[in-house]
Amino acid sequence: MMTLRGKELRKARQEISMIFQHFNLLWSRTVRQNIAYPLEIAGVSSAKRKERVDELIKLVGLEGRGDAYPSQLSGGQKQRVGIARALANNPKVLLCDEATSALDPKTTSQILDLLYDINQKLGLTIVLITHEMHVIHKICGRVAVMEDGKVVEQGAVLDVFRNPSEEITRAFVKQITENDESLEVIEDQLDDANGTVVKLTFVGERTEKPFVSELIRNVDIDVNILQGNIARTKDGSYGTLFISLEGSEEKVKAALAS
Amino acid sequence: MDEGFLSNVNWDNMLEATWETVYMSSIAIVFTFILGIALGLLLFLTSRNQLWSNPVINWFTAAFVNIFRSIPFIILIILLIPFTVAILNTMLGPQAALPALIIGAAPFYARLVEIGLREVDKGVIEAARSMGSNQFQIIFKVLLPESMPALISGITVTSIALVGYTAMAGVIGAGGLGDLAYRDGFQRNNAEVTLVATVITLVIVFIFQGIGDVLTRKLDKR
Repeated sequence: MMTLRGKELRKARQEISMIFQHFNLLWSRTVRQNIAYPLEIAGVSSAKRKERVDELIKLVGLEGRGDAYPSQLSGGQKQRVGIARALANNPKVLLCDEATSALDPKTTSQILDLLYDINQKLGLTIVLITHEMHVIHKICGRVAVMEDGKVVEQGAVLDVFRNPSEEITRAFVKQITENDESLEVIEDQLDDANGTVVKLTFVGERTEKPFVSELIRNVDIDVNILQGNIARTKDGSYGTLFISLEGSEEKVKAALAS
Repeated sequence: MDEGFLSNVNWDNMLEATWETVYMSSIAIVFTFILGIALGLLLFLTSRNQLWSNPVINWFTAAFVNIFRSIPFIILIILLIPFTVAILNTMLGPQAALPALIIGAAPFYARLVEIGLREVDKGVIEAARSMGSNQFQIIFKVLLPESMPALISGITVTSIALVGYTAMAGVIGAGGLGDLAYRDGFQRNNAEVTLVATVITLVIVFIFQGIGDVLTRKLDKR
């Protein structure tokens, strides 16, 4: 890709499509004409173009809006046009450059559902560039963390989020598992609590087990739940739980051992 | 002679002069539009961080545009007489005014074109390139259509300046309303001719402005 020039580079570009944070639609063209643009570039005949555009409009759920101009659409609809346009030439890779960063949370989740759908239906690779951790959670299989232009960490989403090895990854992962506010609350409670505060981390199947009640049953101890959080990813869930153990020293030790 | 208001106006001459003004302006507008867009594109594309980024060509284009934009029109007409004779074999009649009109107006319009092109969203150009557009496609499918409302409102402003220029073109015998107002109205002291010529000129200007406004509004889908 880096060594290609001119015509070959332009040809290669048609195999990789992009969608953008600010959509980058041609406002002088209607939805249909915007989606048809890459087909025109690829030299597709006008009859075939029309057919393909109809197909794409249906795929992204914009039926009936084909003749609207981008200025008449909402942000989510604009991004759908962007996605349809990106898919027009059947690319192998879809690059999403902060594609949901300019959208509200509800629309973001609809667009992510659509992307996931497309990924499943068409089997193309989707590369998401984002700083929104919940986006990664929701639809990604693998994640790479970049810092200063270099990939510092990569792997399956669950692995990276569970065991972040780099400082920056830890900072990112914190965003969802524990936000600053909840940490403050716990610090407050730390002062009041007379027991031992323990942070528990769960991954995968263990998240769904009744851990606390088992603990109480097995070791005779008071458990006070301070704060908890579970995050779901495509391949499973994981979470953290802060509890305060109140009881005699041995019992606390016994509880920690289990 | 003095038998009432406007009785001193020779309407045949007036109609002919009106036709000459409309003819000169219209043809000049068409060529100014084409030449101005070509120059404006060259100015825009050769500027820094653009498709054909080239400081030398950019400098020469800008110099050409600035020089012809700065010369007062009445002087430009006189300077261009040899050029006009060389390409048209005459320096009389409405046609003879065209080279001066176009060369006077196109550089001015080129600057307006350049401003319009700068307004095109960089992200859209990036998107078009990411889809594998070549330079020709970027110019004709993205840059020009996206900036069309600005290009049209620019040519509207320019066309009104052009109507004004046609009046001055009378000095080289181009005819038109300005010429009539000067020769019949001023030199023969016939104020009614001047008045009528002025009103007709205003009507032409309003019509051009109206057409421009309607087109701009129609094209602007932002």
